[in-house]
Amino acid sequence: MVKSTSKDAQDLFRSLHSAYSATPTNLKIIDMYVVFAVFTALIQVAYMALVGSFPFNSFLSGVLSCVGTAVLAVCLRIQVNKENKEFKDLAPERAFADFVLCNLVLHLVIINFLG
Amino acid sequence: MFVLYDFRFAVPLILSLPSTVISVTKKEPLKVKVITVLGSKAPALNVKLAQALCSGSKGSVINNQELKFDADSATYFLDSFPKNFDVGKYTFVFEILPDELAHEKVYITEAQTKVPIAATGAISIENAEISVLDSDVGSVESQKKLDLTKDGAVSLSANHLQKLRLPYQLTTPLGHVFKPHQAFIKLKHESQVEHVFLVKASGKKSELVIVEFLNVLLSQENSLLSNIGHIELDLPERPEKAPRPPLWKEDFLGLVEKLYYLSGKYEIQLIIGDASMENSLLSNIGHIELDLPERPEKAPRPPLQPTDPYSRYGPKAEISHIFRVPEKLPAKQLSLVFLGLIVLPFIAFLIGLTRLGVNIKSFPSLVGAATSAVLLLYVLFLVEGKLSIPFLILRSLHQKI
Repeated sequence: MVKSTSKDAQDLFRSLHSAYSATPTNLKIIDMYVVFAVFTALIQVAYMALVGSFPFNSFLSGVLSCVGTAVLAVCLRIQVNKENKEFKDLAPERAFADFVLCNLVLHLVIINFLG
Repeated sequence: MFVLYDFRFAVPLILSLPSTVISVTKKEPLKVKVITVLGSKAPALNVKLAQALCSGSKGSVINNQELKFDADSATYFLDSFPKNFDVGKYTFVFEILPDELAHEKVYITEAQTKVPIAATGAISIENAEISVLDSDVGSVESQKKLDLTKDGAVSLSANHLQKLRLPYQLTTPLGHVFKPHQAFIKLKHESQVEHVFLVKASGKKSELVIVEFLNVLLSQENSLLSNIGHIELDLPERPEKAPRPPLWKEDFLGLVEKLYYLSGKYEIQLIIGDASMENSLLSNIGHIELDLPERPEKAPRPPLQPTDPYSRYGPKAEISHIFRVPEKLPAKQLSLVFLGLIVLPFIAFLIGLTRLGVNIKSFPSLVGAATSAVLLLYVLFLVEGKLSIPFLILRSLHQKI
């Protein structure tokens, strides 16, 4: 049973990998950006767990910026993905511009909240 | 046996002066009283002024002058003083001798009684002038005669390159040189900042003496008639890097700084005083407009003149403080490690981008430029603390136009 599950896991992983490599490059970029943002958030949480949350607003703003930008990137990915029927008429450049603008607004809030 | 009626003692006689100040100008007599120690009248005596020693000179001015007796007031007096009895401090030496020989055993006195006497008189101040000179050339720009007994309304103007000169003559009633204890010039700015300049007498020759902490010259020239006192104020330019001048050299580089670079109208007051001077004076000479150079960045500001001298005892500004133990901050190295860790995912992102073969060259310039400008603004806000930096830049540009 163990052997089969491990083999299944390996098979699953391999199939996922092969399916993923078929995705277009721009989506991969966005995925990588999301991963980067989430990683940064995790590191911040770990740091806070280590040293205590004295400037709590700094911690919040840091985590919020990472999570916010990750969310916006996911939105961008949804809008840009050609297989998505809902956003067929939306030009990808427009989606990217929206992403940039929302990021700027987010960072404005973050910087103010950082203290 | 103890015989009371035979008990003999000598009665001491006390010499006292109701006033130890003689006025040379008013020509009052010197009065001396002699009484016994218990207060009863003294017998007929011969009171003599043996010597009158002046504090400055060596010899005695008066020698063996007998004092006359005034029976009404029971005082001995001396009403004629020699012609060379000038103002100053003296030590008078009195000798008392009883008239009758029999009294010599009954009454006893000091051999010599020394009494310090101050001779005062009205000092005449003459030939007072005030003038502004150009320091380099020495030429007189403006000159006015002063009458120091009245409050003058002299009005002068000077800049930092010129000198102020105030010669005057002080003579005693007998026509001698007079050097007062106190001679000051006070310059008072309209903002109530005051500067006092000490005028010190120097030796006999024409020496220039710098006085105290304020570089004022006094030159005393010994002329045949009498001494002339000058006060010279030299106000030089602001130095670039000149060091503080030592006090005994003729170096004036600190004077403008002493005046705190305050230009404007200064009131001049001349103050001359002495214990022997009956007419010590504080005379408002007038005004002088001083034109000093601009204050540099680091020059000392004038001290704040309190409107009410007791205001410094009043309440101070309120202190706002929260009593709290400061929060524990992590060690600096840990923070730096954290910073490095944060940067790592970003680097990983960039590496991943290059691995995917991302086309970086065709970056749209306008959008990228606008975005980076806004992000730069955010970074500036973090550093400066004000999000209105572009507004400030625009305003400064507008003002320049």
